[in-house]
Amino acid sequence: MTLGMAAGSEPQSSPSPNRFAALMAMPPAERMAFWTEEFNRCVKCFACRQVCPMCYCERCIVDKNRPIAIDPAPSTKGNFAWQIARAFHLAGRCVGCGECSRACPAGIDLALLNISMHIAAQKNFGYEAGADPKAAPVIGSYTLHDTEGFIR
Amino acid sequence: MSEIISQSTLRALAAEWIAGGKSVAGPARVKPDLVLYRTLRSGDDLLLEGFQRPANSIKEFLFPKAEKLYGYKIRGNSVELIENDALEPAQVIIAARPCDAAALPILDHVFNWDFHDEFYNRRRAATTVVTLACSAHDENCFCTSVGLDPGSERGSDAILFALGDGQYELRCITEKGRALFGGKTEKSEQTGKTIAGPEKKFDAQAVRTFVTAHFEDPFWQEHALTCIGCGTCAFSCPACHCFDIVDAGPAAGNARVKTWDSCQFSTFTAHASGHNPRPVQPARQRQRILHKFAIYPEKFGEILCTGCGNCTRNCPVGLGVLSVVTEINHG
Amino acid sequence: MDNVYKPDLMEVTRVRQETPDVKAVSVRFLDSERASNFSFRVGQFGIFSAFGYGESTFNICSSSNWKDHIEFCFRKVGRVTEAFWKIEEKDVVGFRGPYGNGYPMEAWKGRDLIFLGGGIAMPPIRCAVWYALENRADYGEITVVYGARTVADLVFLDELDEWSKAERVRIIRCVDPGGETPDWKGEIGFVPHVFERAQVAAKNPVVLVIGPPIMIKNTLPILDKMGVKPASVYTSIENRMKCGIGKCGRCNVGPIYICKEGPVLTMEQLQGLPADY
Repeated sequence: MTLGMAAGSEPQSSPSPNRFAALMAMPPAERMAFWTEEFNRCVKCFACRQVCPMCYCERCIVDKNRPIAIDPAPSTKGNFAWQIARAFHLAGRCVGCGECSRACPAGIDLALLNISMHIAAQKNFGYEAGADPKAAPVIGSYTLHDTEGFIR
Repeated sequence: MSEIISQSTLRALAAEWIAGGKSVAGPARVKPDLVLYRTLRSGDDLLLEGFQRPANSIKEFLFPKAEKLYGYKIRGNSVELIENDALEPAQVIIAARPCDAAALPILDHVFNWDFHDEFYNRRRAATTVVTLACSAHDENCFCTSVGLDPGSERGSDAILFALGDGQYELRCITEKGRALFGGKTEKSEQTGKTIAGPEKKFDAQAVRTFVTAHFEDPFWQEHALTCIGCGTCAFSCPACHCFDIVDAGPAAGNARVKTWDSCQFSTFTAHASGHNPRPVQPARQRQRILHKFAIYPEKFGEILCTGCGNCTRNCPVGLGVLSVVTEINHG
Repeated sequence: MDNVYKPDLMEVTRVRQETPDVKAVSVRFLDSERASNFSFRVGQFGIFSAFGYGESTFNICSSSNWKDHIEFCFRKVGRVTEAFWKIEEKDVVGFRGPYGNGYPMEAWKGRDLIFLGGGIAMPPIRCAVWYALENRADYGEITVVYGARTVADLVFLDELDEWSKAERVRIIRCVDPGGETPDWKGEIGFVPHVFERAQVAAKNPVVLVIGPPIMIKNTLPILDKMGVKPASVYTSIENRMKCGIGKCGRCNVGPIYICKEGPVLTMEQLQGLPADY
């Protein structure tokens, strides 16, 4: 029995390694429909946050209320806001353990979000979590050479 | 003499109910390894075999994860409250498990304790529950330890027993059940049997005695240490009903919303002053067990648990209620 | 639909700042029919709300004999109380209530009353004192020992002055050592010690003690020495609440739902409950 697995449960079939490629092959409208469907099942149980080895903030942003930055309700808006915010806060920090997807009781493949931020960190900043202990963390630092192409 | 109905008829009926404007919910395959109760879009979505039970419960159809209590419009110094008085559409939950249906009469108590929660009551009145008796149980099930069994009719308006070959015996229990299936069945000699449930795994009365007498006890520290404090157990439980009322303001559409909450969250009992009566996870786990096996029974005469095993199956660390209460009984 | 979660709309009629972070607010029902039908018992609480910010639980700190308005008193500590801090006369707030069990003022008739309170615990005592003074003949000697960390933290000081002029009333004000100002004329010391020094000679009193757990813990032995039984000592337990009507599962202390079977409990009851508050 794998540590942490519910007694007697079957190991989940390994997700296809190309599932991220399959996701990104979808045109934007289809991808948005996909995520809307997925996030509509989110109940804000925060299992994804609690199992994540890199979610260790003493007070999570979703629990703060002055101001309310993330709608706490498990509405479409509240769920999108939560999942996107968490993915951003893990950009360049996610270590790819896959616990978020395993723990989600609603079967949302949250790892896909973190994979996309991991790739973005690699592509834009040449950064890979855990590869170089001396590298400055992506969302915790900046250099004057950082691209500003997003300012248009 | 029994009434029997075929799987194809059930699916056709589901499609008819959907076409007629009813909301129909039942088990559906969401992922290769995940079955959930969902609002069905067609009779074909209904999944009747090949799994123990859905990973969620039917409570979301009577007690939604987010329920708008009222909206408000603020204009200068005046506030207008906007309520939704539209009647709930008729709803059918098909192929619920006995451990899901049995939670409804249990929840009726708290939602009607002196004050009547009409959000819950209206949905309850508009819902017909068609239960599918279990054909098997797994090692996470323990309905027999909390006074139920795989063929329990509690909370059901009608109950189906699988006969094999895509046939089911149908027993209508209430007027609502009869109204749904009148004239849709065939007579038969075959009758379904309630299978033997899981062997009793603990004595609920002994658990109640223990938790009432051992509020301060290293037991909680020893057996709740692995709990990571998410809401998975509470949210997948048919009987858990703790909720929050949030007011996210203009950005969230100016409404007050009732949302699911869990006693396992660290801020569940946190005061604005910073004081928290349950500051550590063992204290919060203790509350869960106390509420289910001692407090709710004391107040309403019912155990707040139907032995469905969802908590254990879904818990990211494999904890759940069963392991803690069996430890109490045997420790 | 009878929506138990829907608040009454209230208009703010007065806002008084009591300390640098405490205000007292008077509100009246906008619906006159509701206003004429409304009544409550002192010791009950309400769930007041600032629309757009949220709901918060406060004791209704006005006397139940005052028919034209109700009052609540709050310290600015969080999101909702920060929103309340900004309200002015004519603003509209929400109110759900009255909830809870209230003080058994009927059962207390004929007894001497001792009120012991610390800091922001004065408001839930204030309503009971006013009620007792307004029904003066029903109650015996009234003693109030009220203290706060510093002089600036004391609330309703002007009303304490008024009370001290009533018959058979003894008011003792105190501040923690170091909290006094040069012109402070009251006592210096923690409420339990000041109460002990006061040597209150009460026959079979009812004691209402509200304050931080440490204050209550230090007061109980003194009451015990006075021969006051735990069944005659009352307190009002504050636990975090949301629904106020016994459903959301948040406020229980063991099997007691504070919003329904509390918040007013005797020490005898409290001593039989787990330390879950």
